[in-house]
Amino acid sequence: MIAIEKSGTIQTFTRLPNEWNDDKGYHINFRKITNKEDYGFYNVVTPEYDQVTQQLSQIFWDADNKVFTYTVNNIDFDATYTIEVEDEEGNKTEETKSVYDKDKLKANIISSVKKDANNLLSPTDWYSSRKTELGTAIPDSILADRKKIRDKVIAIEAEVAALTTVESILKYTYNFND
Amino acid sequence: MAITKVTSSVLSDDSVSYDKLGVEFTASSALSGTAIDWDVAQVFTKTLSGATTFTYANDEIGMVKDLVLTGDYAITWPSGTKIITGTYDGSVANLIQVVKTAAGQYWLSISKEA
Repeated sequence: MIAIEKSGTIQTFTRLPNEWNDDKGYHINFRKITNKEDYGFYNVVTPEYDQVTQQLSQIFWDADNKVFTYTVNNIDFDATYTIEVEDEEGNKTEETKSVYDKDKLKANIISSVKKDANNLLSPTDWYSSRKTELGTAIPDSILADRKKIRDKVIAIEAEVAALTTVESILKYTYNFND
Repeated sequence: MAITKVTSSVLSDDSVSYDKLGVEFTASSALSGTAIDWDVAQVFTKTLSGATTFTYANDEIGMVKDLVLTGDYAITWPSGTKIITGTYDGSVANLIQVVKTAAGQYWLSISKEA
């Protein structure tokens, strides 16, 4: 990636534009230039960072290294915000809430797990309907597969419940194929 | 008495033939440098050998010039240039037409061999 600062704004490009207009003139076949720095274009250096726990700053010009880059900042998982709550009698009080609500984050995971489990179970639901309507036995292999899915949901729910930090919740992944 | 001035009433309609036009309307010139003198020819040709910055001389509003350019290099046109249509293709010959629409304003279209 490359970037240029123009009128105080940094514009980024995946590669040089094929046409470019600046105070030197209007350039066509611009990708063929041999020295992009002559036109104010410099490389963008993106530092490595943990996309769950860190975030990048606004892009800025690093004059010492002659590159456009970012700083890496840790996300404050303990951050809070305050809301004003009004009761039935019109009394206003301030309530402090966590930006990262652990219970809500866990609930989102469980909701996603149950949705995935339902998608996995639904192709064989007709066995259950057939048994209810006609009394036809469900094959043992199907029963075993469906039990495996339900057991996995129970195991994941237990794992999620045991998570204690926002970071561990955000980084939690699951896989029904384990 | 010598004739010093020709008025339009002297010329009959359709009397100015191609042969009577100046070289700026009829000639083709192979550019050796990067300065394009609009009085010199109607058509200019050049094979680029590196990044090229063109300049204009004697360009007047309403004039149209044709350039046949080849060579896969960056080209810089004078400030005030606007591309109307087309993309330069360095692998073939490109016909570039430039119209001067106002002082310091040039509209440019690019077409190429099919």
